[in-house]
Amino acid sequence: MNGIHDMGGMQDMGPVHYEKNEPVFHADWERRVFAMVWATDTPPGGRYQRDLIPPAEYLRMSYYEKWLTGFIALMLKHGMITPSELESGKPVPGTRKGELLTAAQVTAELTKGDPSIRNVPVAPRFQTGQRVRARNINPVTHTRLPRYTRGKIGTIERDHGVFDLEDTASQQLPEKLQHVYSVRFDARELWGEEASRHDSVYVDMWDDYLEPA
Amino acid sequence: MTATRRDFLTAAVTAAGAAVTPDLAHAQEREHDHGHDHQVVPSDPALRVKALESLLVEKGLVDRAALDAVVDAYEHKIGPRNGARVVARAWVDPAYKQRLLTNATAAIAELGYSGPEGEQMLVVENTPKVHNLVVCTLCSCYPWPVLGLPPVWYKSAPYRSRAVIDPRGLLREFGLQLPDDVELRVWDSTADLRYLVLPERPPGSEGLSEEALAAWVSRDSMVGTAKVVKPTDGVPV
Repeated sequence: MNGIHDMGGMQDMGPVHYEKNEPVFHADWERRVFAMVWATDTPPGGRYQRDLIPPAEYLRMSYYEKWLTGFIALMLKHGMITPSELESGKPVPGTRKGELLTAAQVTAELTKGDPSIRNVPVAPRFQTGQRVRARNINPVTHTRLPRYTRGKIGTIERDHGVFDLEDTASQQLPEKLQHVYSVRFDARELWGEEASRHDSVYVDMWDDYLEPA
Repeated sequence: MTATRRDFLTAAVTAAGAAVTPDLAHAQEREHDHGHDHQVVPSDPALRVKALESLLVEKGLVDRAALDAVVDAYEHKIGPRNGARVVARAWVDPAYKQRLLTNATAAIAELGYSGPEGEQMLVVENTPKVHNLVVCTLCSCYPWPVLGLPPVWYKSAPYRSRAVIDPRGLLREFGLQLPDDVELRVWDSTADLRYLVLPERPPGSEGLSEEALAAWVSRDSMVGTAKVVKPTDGVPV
């Protein structure tokens, strides 16, 4: 989706505000939001829900407000909570249960993670060194293909292996196992002759994002 | 598109109900209906979050002690000191550095660091001729096990928008002026890989122990917005 979240190459967003000795969280509610999102057994698609935050809201909200909004939207979407529960604060029977993560399980989960690389044989569509073009597609759903690369020519620098395509995973669609490549784009290809000829941008791209150039 | 947007608004509206306070999205809907002169005031997130947590606990979806453990880990155990130890080891042990550059996930796990947002790691090396910079233009992807949670600036619109189109100008804002002929590689971590920059070992660090070296390595140097320099006071950011 061509939303405000796809920010690469936008201009006039102002200077970077750098906070010295920045704390991990700035308020207690941020701690709780982070931990709830971390610990709750939701289906994938939290990022997609954050993409859907209306642009003006997205720019106004702090980071963890976006997390909170996306988290609530995701749980509502999957029937883990209901609007009336949010209204009343009281649970009603019949909602979908996720697996409860206990404090005893947290330590193991902290080091385990959720590896998304798949050890399955899938033929790569492209080879290292090959010139490719990022496809000009404009899905209205979640995608990890940044707008600034679409239609641009790059080179496959490295094959990272096989991963489930986020575009479909974020919608709980059947797995689409594809190779992900590191694709190198010259800054001049992306931004024109004004850019430094010594600069390049490397973007990780699934097979579906690419065509031969 | 319309359907998803409507879903979102419904969600946000009901989310407001959690704290029984006026919600921005709710107010926005009223604005769209026109004829209402409600001032748009965002509800207090602290109240909304408290109400939500109570609801999820009552529903058996989260365990309060588990949330406390998660917060404690990311505030006190998982942070840039981990990454600094990885860098220091690579500086003193060429075989480790080689493993780090060829199979970063496994090499980082050798030091005991692994977990969410670090499942597929890549380490990119700075040299006198190459400088690396990491960004996530689409969101906030960041290698948690080695750097902890990202700072606000990393997740901000100015950083995400400019890192790919004006990386040298951005670095100047961070106080880092790259020579024109140094190759600058920007890594936009938009998929499932997470990146750590291996900064150059600075002059003046000869003979230091691995532990002492780790104390020189700043978070920013492992994102690529700074170089490692001799710390003037205490442990660098």
